[in-house]
Amino acid sequence: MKNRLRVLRAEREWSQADLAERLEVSRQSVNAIETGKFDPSLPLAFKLARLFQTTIESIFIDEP
Amino acid sequence: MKNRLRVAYNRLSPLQRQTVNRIWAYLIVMGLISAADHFVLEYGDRAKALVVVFAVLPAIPTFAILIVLGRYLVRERDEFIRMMVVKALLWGAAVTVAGDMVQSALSALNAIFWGLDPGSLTIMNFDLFFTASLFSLLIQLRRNR
Repeated sequence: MKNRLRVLRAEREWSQADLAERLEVSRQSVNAIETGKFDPSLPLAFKLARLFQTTIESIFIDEP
Repeated sequence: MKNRLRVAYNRLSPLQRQTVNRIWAYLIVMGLISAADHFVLEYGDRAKALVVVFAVLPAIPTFAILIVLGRYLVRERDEFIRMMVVKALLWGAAVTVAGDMVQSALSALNAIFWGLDPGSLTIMNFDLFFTASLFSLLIQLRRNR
């Protein structure tokens, strides 16, 4: 699943570590989500959406 | 090396640190029990009841370590880290089971290499499990830096 996490993070000039701290996860988790190696659970996806004040579907792009 | 270990240890979350400390404590207990086991069975009284007791004793810290790992997995809030640890433990289990299969085949064939009876390698199960799990975890951490 593709996502716009890197772009959203860059817009706010946050490092991966900054975002990880805000999400209360490890920096590795943020890196794995950004690179598409790992799809977050629904609670974490909601947390991301809340943090970026947007919707889940505008962060994650479902590709068949 | 010692410094790198210290840095790695300091980077752990309080929950991870607590888990590592408990595992080390149980490993020390396991080592002491194994040493006592060896001493009693080699030099001491080999009454059947005592043999059974000393055969069962090492299972206690083994269970304890697996319970500590289970509790850690339940309490770990970072789902990606949790996934990596589960993967690492599965690799550990896979390598241990595969090692056991090889060891049983060698034992069945009475194969003795360098004077070492493969049957005596069963005691290395836990070491194999931990080493394989640790390597798997390190590889995954390196891949996801």
